[in-house]
Amino acid sequence: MDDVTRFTFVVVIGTLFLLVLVGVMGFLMVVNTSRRARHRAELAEADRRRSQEVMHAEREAQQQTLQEIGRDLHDNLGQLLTVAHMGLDAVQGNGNSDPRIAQVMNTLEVSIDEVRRLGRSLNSDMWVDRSFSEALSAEGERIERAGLATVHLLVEGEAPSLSPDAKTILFRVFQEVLNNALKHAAASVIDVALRNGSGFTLTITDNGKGFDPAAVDLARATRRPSVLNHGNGLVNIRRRCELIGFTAELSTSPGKGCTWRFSQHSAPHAA
Amino acid sequence: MSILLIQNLLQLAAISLALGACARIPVPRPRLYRLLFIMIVVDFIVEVAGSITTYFDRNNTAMYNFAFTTQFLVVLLMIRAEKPGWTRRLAMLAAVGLGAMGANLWVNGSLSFLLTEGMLVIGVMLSVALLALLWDLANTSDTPLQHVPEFWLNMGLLVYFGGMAPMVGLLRFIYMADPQLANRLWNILPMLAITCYLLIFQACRLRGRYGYELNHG
Repeated sequence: MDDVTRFTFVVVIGTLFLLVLVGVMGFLMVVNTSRRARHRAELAEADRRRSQEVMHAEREAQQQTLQEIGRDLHDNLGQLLTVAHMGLDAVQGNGNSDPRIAQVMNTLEVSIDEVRRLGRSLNSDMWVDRSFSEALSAEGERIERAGLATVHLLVEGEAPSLSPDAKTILFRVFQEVLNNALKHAAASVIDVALRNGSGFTLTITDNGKGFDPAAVDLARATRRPSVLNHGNGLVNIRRRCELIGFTAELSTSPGKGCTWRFSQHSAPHAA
Repeated sequence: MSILLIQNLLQLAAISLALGACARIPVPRPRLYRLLFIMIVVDFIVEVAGSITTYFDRNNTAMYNFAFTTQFLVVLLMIRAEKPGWTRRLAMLAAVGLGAMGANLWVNGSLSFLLTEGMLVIGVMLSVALLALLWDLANTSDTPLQHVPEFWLNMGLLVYFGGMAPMVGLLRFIYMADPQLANRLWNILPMLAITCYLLIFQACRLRGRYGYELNHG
């Protein structure tokens, strides 16, 4: 072996050492990077679970309060109204034919019905005796009855197989969207479409004044108080939908109304 | 200027750099860096003494045999400082390593020869221990490895001991076939030591900068 060959051999061996060193370093760094990514994902998952638990606890407390209010309405206010109705009925039976008594009795009957309906809607077992689409329909009717807007409801397909908790969250989101349409957008017509074919979707479209989503994002970023609450409301809607496995999409622009589309992107989480 | 002298000077420069960076770590230093400081000081003294004895053509293999054994024990203590739970296994490694060096000395009958078989056993054992430590670090560190001082420190030690094992193991056979090639290959060892100390320099620099803030556990 001549000197040049020996030199080449040494260089090759040295280079091999260097390559092994770099390889080991690179491999360890890749292992570490993937471990940290996994760790971050686990933290995010734990965070999501904690949010769900907090939300579940909040909802339970809220349901309990609503249930108590509903029971009180039914047992106390409802009973008082019934007693008043019976009293007036007795007065009428004693030969008093004042037409105002009949009018008051009518109003009392409507009030009793309204209190019963309200008591039922506050009950946590609201899904026992009615479906999701029936709840949407009742809510629409309530808005129409109050003369706030015209609500069109379209139902296509079978009733969605959602858990009671998921139904409750989606229904509260629906109520919030309707409330926003009436309060902020001054909408006069609201179209609601519930479709359950290849996937379950709920679409709510209003003819209100709409808004610029980019402006809301900017206001959130700069924490401008006038728009901040509105922006937080939108974020909350998305967050709550995310917790039950739904995607909330919003399309709107100034003067062009507002459309919310809620679609199920995975099996609902055990919220 | 001969290649040997240049290598010696480069090696001393790398050790000095590492020593300087280690000395700049704010006190009180973690136990790991106190041990590292001792190791670097011992190495510096050995290399200076080695250069002088080589210059005067004196046999210094006994000194290198002792220095290598000391280095081995200090590195085991350093690993223990990072992983106190490994004490039992490290004690076993120490026993096997010292046994191998002792057996080699018994076979050779003199310290005037380099205890290559013992060094080979120690090199392999330390490489495995350091690789296990690095693997553990990669799987537990919440900080990117390039920012973790102990990563560079252990990589440096792995380069030296991991590189030494195959070199020492093969050189004997290469020497029988081609003594000149074996002499040339021997020159790779100082280069491994220089790389090791440059990586240790980086570790000390990072430790000096981060102090105790860094949590990679």
